[in-house]
Amino acid sequence: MVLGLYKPTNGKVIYKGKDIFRMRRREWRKIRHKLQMIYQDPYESLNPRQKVFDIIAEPLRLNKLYSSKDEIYDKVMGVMESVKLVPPEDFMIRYPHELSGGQRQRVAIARAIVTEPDFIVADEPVSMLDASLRASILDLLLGFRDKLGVTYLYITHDLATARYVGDRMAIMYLGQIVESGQIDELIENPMHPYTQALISSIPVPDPEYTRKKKRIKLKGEPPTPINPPKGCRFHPRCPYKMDICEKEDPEEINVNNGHMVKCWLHIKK
Amino acid sequence: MTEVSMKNRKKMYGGRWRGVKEFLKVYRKNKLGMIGLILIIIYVFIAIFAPYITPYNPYEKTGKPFIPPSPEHIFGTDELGRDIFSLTIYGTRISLFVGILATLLSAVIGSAVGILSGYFGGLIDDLLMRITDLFLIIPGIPFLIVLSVILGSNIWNIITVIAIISWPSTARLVRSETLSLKSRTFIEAAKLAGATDTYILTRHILVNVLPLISASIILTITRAIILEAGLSFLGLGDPTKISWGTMLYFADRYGAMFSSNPYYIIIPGVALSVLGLAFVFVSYAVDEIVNPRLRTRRLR
Repeated sequence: MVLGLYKPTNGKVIYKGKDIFRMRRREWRKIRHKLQMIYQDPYESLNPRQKVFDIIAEPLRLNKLYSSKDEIYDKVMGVMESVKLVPPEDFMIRYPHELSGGQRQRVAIARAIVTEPDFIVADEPVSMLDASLRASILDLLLGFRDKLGVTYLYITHDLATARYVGDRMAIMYLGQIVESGQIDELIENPMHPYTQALISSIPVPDPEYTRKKKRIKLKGEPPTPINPPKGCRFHPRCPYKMDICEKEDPEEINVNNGHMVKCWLHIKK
Repeated sequence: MTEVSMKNRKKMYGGRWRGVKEFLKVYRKNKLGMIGLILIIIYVFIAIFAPYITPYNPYEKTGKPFIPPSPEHIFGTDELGRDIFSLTIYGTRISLFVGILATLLSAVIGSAVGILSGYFGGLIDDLLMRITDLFLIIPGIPFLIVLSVILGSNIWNIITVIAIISWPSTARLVRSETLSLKSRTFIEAAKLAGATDTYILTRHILVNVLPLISASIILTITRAIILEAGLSFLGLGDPTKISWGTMLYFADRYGAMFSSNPYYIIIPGVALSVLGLAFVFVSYAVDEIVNPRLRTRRLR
């Protein structure tokens, strides 16, 4: 939705001061390549009948960013080198099924950055990969952040990688942001009970610590977002539930310069 | 740089037939499939070189009527004194021509309906699928007979009529494949890259359903050839063209079975059955490769 594929029921997506759903078609066509996406599953997100070259060149061709074939060719070669698919001559004639998971994800990243976007939605880009590959893919993403100035919206349930890549973090529960702020601040000092539960569930490779630590266990399953609970959406599973939680949805409040929490525990009466 | 890039571009397109090669490698292991393929190649060869194979012009009287097999006429003659061997050889042409053309026509209609209906969904899907159901539900042979009586006996009409009753199964098949393709993320990725519906349909969906379409083509050809023969046998064929069906029709009418030359019925009948069988063998073999469920069973 952030990238304009689905229309929101309410709310706005602002890009450079303009709501992308209110733009004229022509205007939207001009900027849409600045917003890209990297998908979770590199086995699903690449067309099995296209060669790597065509997969990466497709956004260029569709958006008519270059007029000549040689320019496209050179651009694709350059991008393939920067995602370490080397030698590019070798990889560009292959089909996705001839590549490993890590290589496919590199192709997906190449495809996303080939249009030189400002903003990339990365939907758990490393969750399908082996742990040994994750760091190298994440470093690749961070490299583009530093070199090209790309902003990422990194969607994940893995707080460890989130801390590795992120600056700011927002925790969502049942479609609502319950807490947001600087990532270190959030992890060191979680305010919302849900965030606390999430953080206490991160495995720590230290038996001494693990034995002493008390984990916050949540009861039950998240309810269906089609018919969310009344009041605070988290109240049926919250260990600190108060009466007010069942009746009214709390406001989001600023607890500590930019650290936002949406919980009755922190609202002073 | 430019020269290197040109060389590379050539290499890029060189791998296009790799999929076909892999397919043939698996196919070659299937004995029945190979027998069928060789038979079909022989038939096609016969159809193309018919004038060089036949000893007589099949449209001319070359002897007395109903001569039993003899050195001059290896399968004897028909009621007009025409050479049965030559007639059968020429009949291959019409049978193959009608079978292939009708199948291609039905594949085009079926794929178009299937892809559009699967991709767009909603009202278009409902509309197209109800039409498909309608054609699917109509009993084939009676409908064929009625249609060809109305349209008249002409080879193009026969092709059209056969295509009309064979496209719905292809449409169903293609639609379900399109539905599953549509939900794959690379389609969403293409939309994100700015692809139009037409682009996605042709570049992403069509290429991915193509293997399925070609498998269904082979299945349909068998049916189309038998249907053509059936129609012609009922006297609804094109009387000016020789096909196995029309031969059987005339043989039946003139009581060839009990005449001095029963080969008049046997030879085109055998030719038809063997060709039908050949296509069935091939379609089974292809089905086994294309259909992933059958493939795993075979590997086990």
